[in-house]
Amino acid sequence: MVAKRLIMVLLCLGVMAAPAFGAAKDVIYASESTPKSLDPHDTTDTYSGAIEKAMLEGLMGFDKDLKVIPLLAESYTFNSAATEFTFKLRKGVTFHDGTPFNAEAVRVNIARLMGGKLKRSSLMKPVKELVVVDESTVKFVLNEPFGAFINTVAHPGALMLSPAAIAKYGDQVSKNPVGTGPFIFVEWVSDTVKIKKNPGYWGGAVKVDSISFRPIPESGSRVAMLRAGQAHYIYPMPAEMLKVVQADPKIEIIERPSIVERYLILNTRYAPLSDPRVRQAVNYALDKQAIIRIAWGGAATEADSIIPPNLQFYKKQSPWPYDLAKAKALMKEAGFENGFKVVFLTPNPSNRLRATEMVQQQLKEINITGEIQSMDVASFYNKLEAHRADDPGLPPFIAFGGWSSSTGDADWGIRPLLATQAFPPALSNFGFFSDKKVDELIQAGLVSADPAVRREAYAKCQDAAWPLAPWGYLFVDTLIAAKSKTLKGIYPLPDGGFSVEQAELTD
Amino acid sequence: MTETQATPFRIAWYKFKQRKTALVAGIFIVLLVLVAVLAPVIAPYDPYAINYSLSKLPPSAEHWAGTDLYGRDILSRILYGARISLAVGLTSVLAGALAGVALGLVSGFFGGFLDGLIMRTSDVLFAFPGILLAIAIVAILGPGLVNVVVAVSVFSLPTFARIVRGSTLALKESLYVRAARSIGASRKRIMFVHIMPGTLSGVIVYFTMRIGTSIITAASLSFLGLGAQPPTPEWGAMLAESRDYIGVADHMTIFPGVAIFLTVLFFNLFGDGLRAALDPKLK
Amino acid sequence: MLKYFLKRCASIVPVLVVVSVLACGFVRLLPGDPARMMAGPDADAATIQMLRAQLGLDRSLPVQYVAYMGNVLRGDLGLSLKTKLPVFQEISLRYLPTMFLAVAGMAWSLLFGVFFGAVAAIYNGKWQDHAAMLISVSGISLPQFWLGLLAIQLFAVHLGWAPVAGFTGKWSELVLPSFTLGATVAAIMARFTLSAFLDVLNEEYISTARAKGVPERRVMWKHAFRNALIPVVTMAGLQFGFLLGGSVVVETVFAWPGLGRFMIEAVAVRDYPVLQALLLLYSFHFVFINLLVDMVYALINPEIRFE
Repeated sequence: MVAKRLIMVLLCLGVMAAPAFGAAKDVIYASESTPKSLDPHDTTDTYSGAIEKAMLEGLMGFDKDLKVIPLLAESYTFNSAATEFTFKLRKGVTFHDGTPFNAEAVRVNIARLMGGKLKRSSLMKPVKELVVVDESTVKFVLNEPFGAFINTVAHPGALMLSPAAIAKYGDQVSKNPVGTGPFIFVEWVSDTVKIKKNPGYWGGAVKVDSISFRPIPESGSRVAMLRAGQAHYIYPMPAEMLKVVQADPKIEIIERPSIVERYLILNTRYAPLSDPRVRQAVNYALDKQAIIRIAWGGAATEADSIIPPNLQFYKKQSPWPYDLAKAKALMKEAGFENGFKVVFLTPNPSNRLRATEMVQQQLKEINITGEIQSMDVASFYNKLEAHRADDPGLPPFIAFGGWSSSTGDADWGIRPLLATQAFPPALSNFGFFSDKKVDELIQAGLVSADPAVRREAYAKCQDAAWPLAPWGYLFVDTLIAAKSKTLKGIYPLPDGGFSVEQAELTD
Repeated sequence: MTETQATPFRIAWYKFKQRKTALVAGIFIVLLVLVAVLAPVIAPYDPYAINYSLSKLPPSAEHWAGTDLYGRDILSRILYGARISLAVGLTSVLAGALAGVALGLVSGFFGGFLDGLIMRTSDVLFAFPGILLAIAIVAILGPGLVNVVVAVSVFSLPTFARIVRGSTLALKESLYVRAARSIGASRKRIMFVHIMPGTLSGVIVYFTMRIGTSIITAASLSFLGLGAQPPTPEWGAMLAESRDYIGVADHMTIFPGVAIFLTVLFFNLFGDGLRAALDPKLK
Repeated sequence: MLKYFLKRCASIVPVLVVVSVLACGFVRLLPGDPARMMAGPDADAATIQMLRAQLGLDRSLPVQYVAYMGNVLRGDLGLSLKTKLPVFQEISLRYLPTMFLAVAGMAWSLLFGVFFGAVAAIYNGKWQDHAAMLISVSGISLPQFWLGLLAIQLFAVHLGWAPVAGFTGKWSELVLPSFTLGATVAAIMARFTLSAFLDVLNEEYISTARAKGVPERRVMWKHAFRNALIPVVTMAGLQFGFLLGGSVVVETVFAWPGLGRFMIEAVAVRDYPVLQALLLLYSFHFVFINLLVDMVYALINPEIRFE
């Protein structure tokens, strides 16, 4: 016990005394969020997932436009019923600890996910069993037809860990991830993660020596780091500070449309909010353009469906205009002319706080009042995840939420948020929205592999869900990152993550 | 011409006047109180009136201090903010002082077990850095200015108690008090009429300094999202919510920042001046 | 001497006991269910109940307290509800950065605070006095977060003299955050030094020394200053104890991996084991430093020991 403590202290001292990186090519990435876990099977946030993707790979992956591409699998086939998916694995790939990547490795990983205890275990729910056909071929046999299974396999929740690491570390693999990717895990100290180049990467030469992911939650400090040359890449680049950075010749700004949608989670279990008219009133009372302009620095476009336009199978709906009179009329009709009290929950990064304040200001006009509770992002999600449908005193809340579908597919953009089976703790339907028709349509899109069938199902699903106003619809982010001109090859992905494999530092 | 008598008060006043900074500070404080009281009358706009089309305007003839993010007039918010800062400062410190003085008197006067108990408890309270104690209290009670007041009074308490206890212990043995006792004055009378006034000089000085601290603490709590809740025009909250606009719309941070700075500075200088005036050791 | 030391050590035990009881009790006041949090996303009611029994949360408070203290004495502070990692590990990872920041902040504050306070005392009544006090009081009149942000803009961005934020082990990263921290404490130290110094200057042995013809400079530095240092050291110790608790504001602005931010995050998720451990830690710091300072004081001033 004492020895362990001594080692801890020495570790700290060692870290503190570690010399500066010297003349090596080390990239510093300054982020807003802190990593929650480095175990891909137990990760729910985009930031952690993106760091994992630099070190670990899945059978399939995504390119920079979120199209599915083969990664550790060279090719795949599936039967016409979409119940069996066979993957031919890439040969000659090894994990960072020397373990060979093969069908057995895949089996271990999938078994771990299917074991049911981890946050992303639900990804493998459609799977009945994994068959090892031979050393480099595996076959997933599904319970039911599932057209988007390829996207599931490409999800960062299904990244491959070294079986030796799983055996050695068990659940602590979150602090010791070992994969096949372009970068090798070095350390995760306090909130900073450092990864270094994998010289034996099968996918080609890695051009930088290391990358450090340093969370700098304070927007002003993050921008300052970039301007002072102490960070090479920052994300998010706060839109309200663009003016300050645009004038700097050493800095380049990257703007991309995203698949990150922001919305107000309405607790539909709570009496007034369970009435769709009240929820519609909320939507009419929100002046989304103002919120975008003022709280978000203009870096967004108004949402016009439950999923963002860049997501597969999106169908445009008619956006709710800002119409205060109509909002008041609806409230009156529902019997809540005098309004009611709620709690506004929000994570504390300043843009979200501002947006929630504006929501508070605007909803006051229809007599929905309440205080704002803000907390750091991790705590915010912990809080929402802890609610249960049958909680007796479930508070009436309006929470500032957001989501990006990390599979690029409509299913993952709708089902975890609006399906009845997605109530926490299973998935992220934090508002406990439940509608039979919507459930049916989600299911219809899920089970078919035929794009035409899926398109129609999702179109109908959006048509059905939109008017029911499960959320206060807000907007779709425009991702803004800023980087030093000496850095090439890192860019933001539409889901809010990032790609670093091609990172390169020029002098 | 009659000679003016050198009463303690006059001596103190003379020494106070000597320190120009303290005098200026005193004048500023009086002005601040006036502003706070008259805010509803002199504020040009409603501090809560939102107008998104007027967002972030720099100072102009219509808005002398410009507008904030939501189009609210900053000058009006600063004026109303004066009320809030003074109210928070005064009530929190007053509450802490009253409790602290009472406990200190009792502790010093009676001694023994009671003294030990009170001092140990205040030691425990004293052990926590003020801001962390404030956060802890706000965590239980919830965010908001009322709870900020509670938190600040709680962490001001131990020092007041300690100061008063110290003076009480010294005064208890003074000739003056022993004389009162020998006449047969009741304990209560001795405590409140004879001892307490002697402890007051230390209390007053600490009191003024504490006001500054409580304003800063309220501002820090607002920065952390635990203090004044929107749309309260508390200076710290105004500063905190504008900090992303440094370099873009500096007027939004400068006005509340300077307001806090000057107020706290002058309270501190005033307190320094008081201490100098009341302390026989200083020239 | 040894007797005094033992006596003092003995007297801290009741304080520690009281504090530990308060810490356990206080943390229970926070609303929220730790068993639910620990059980995680998969849990059904049965699992939560089982975990509650496992954590001992279904036992009465006094029993929980005894069990917890027993573990603490063995070095087991429990597991963080949020990260499932040992609390001891989480705290030790943040302890050193907090310690470094506290030491560096103290260094600034002693440098400026004691200096300005001494100047103000020596030149009592003249413009140097006013100037010194004005500068040092300014440090405590600015909200720390604003001072920090302005310092970043000026010294890091525009002048490029120091790193902006974060801590990777380089000494230069300490500069700005410790300066911001130090500015606040400097004011306190300045004021305290001034009053301590003046107290000493009015002592008889000073006038005696002057009467003997000792040069003024020697009077000031050799006699006055050295003796004024004793209460100043006491105050410095106190402030250092506070700084060891971490400064949430400075840590947030400078992304410093310290205990202050850790505590506020733990409060947000009701991470009981972490909170209890932190409260105990702070009290321990305070009591320990008090003890240390008392010992130093007793060493220098033998009269105290015979109280």
